Amino acid sequence: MYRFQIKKITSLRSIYVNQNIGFNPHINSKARIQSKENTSFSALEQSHFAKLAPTWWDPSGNQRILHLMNSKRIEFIRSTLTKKFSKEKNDIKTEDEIYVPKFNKDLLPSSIKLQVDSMQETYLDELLSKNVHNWNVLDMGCGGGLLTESLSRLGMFKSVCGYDMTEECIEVAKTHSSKDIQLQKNLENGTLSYEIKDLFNDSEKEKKFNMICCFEMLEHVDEPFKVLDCLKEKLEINGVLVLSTINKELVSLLTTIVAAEHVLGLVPKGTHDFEKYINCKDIENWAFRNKMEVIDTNGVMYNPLKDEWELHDNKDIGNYFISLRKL
Amino acid sequence: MLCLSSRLAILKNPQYCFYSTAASNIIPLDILIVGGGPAGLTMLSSLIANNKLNKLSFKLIESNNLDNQIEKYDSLGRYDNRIISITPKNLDYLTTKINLPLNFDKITKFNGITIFNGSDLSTQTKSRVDLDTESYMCEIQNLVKSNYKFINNLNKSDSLIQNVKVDSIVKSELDNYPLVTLSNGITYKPKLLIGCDGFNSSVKKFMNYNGIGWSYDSFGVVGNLHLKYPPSDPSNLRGWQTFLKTGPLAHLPLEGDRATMVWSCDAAMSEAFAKKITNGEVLGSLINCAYVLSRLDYEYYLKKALKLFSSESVDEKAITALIDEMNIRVEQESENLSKINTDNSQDEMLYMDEHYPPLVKSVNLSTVGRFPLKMFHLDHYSKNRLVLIGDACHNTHPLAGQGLNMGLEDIKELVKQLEKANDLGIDIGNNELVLKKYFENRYPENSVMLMGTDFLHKLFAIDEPIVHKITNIGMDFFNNLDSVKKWMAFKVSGKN
Repeated sequence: MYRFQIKKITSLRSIYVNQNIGFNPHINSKARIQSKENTSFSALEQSHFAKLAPTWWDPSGNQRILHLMNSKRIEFIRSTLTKKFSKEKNDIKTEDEIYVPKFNKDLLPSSIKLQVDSMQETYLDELLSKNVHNWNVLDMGCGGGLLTESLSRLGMFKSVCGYDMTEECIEVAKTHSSKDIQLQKNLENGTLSYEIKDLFNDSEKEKKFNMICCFEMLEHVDEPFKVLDCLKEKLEINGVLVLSTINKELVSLLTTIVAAEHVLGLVPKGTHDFEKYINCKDIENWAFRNKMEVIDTNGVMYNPLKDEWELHDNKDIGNYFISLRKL
Repeated sequence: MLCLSSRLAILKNPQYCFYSTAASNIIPLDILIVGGGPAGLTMLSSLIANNKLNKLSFKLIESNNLDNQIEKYDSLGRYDNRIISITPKNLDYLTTKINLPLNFDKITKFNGITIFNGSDLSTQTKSRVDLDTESYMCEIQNLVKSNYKFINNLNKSDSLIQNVKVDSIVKSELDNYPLVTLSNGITYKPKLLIGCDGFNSSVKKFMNYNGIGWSYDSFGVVGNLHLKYPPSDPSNLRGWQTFLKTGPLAHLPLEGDRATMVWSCDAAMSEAFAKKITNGEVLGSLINCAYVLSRLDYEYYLKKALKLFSSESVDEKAITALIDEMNIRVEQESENLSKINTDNSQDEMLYMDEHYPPLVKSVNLSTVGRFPLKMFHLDHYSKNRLVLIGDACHNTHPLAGQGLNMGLEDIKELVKQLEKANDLGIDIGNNELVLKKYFENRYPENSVMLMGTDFLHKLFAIDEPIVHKITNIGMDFFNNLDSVKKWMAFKVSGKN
């Protein structure tokens, strides 16, 4: 009886773990042929993003939705890093924790509630900035440099670097950054840099990063899991990999392609290819196989009423963010 | 010799000269605030008090000398005539979030406001609305001084540049930053330029947006009142307002036997009040008449007073006679009203105290001043790297006492958006992602307030008996809607 149970568990487990991990199981043959060129980014996609490059920085233009999403990305990065550090801190010393009242803060007088809130906030901010001040951060697939600029402007990290394969995008990113007084300074002293780089043909294998962000990029490459492997190589031990992409299911199809591209026209047509979407489960499986620990996952969706993106708990529907730690 | 000639060449070539001075004196900044009025200074204090935003570099430019202004205020020894009401939620913000050292000895709290329909012919059916909106009367100079003290106490006085005007604002061709050239020759290149310089804002002119607005052809006359006797219950003060044909007359409490007024008048009346009338008691008695007597009586005395003071030589005897007449009429009417509305002698004595404003002895003529009334609302508050707050983007009729409160709400919202942008690494000058959010959150609320006050002003200005009757019925009806009144009070003051 007991043996039978063990057998059942192992059999369940073998179903859960995807045997095909290491490459995208859903990849179609056409894409595989294209990938013979041995770049991480297909020529078709490259030309699409090269066309988009000039309008990248117009927040009222066709990249508006991306501009709005950018703030949620930073929010997610902040919360995931805070989560990571407070967890690490808890492992070391429990008595050094900030005092969290055992009662509802809303019951306090408003002035005291304000003070408690601001104390908590400064504590978490300090915890964050103390830990990341010597971090090197990579924004993989930076495009026009939306996230790269924001990360650099936060001023928390030692250096922020943006990689992209499309020359036009890097050009746009560089000129845009040089028009901002603060970022111009960062460009000059090297804390902010952009490079045209293909991950698969990377010569600088030694250069490692403490955090790699890869937002809205995996659904545009032909071999996402190969890209992930490369990114993991570039990550320091205990470094953080923050990813975002889209689940391969019906809601995603309806929202990102039917609604966003064809009905509402929020995103230029041809931006997304449903075949290339990746389920959150697949990423988690890849992480499990490759000795990465999941820190946090969040679903994210666009709320047209508020004209804002919102984080939600269901990671298996639509767009999602996931953060991993290299063990 | 060579050196001299090359210098001459530079002087002779104006283009070169201009270029060299312009290039050498440009100072990059994060935030530049134009205008050091109550809104501008509070904006600066909010930035200093915010422990995220105070890491940015910011400066405020003001054309007046604030030191002189504050010295003058300190030597005044009485209330200044520019007094505004601050709602509890805004006072909360000033004291707890910014920690301003306001002088609370000169701030008076009142628990509600009573509004009369002054257009009604009969005193007995004169309708009234009692609103329980808590509010605080505070001098503008008190706010200015506390901001100034706050900025100096935190050693941020170098962020305050006084006695300097804005010479020009141009757009830098290279990167679309605003270049603000000051009268002392310095040019700033701010990431974000905040205009708080009132109706004639230079930043507003540079933004070149359209707005809706009109002048009311009337003036607000302000002045400090001396009451006959202090209110019986100083812990339960009320504000009073009556809608007359020329606009509302507000009677707002200060400490002890002091009070302040805002009287909307037409041009001739305001000129007489501000310049010709040499006896404060006449004005004081007229205010009593406006509240207690019927419309015809009040207008009769008003005409008589204006006529008396219109001639070159003023007949002192006639003036005292007029004052006595008015006082007697008010007394008679008061007795009459208390008798009709109460059924025992105890209530009769208290009736006027509780239901009508305290009687005014005289108006302090040295504090009387007037300003034109207008309503104005700009269609947009922001452009890339430019934003307006307070009177620069909206001017309102003072009847609701919301002018500065709207400005403070603007500041709260803008600081919130800037803080968010700073947290998320967004450029603080970005219109679409930061400044427009502020505009979108403030515009509807400001619009409602502006339109509401405009509507009230116009409604009571209609001189038609049928309209008077309808407003009377409407006000009586409204006065019985307790839940609606409570909701409104909560909306305005933020407190139940």
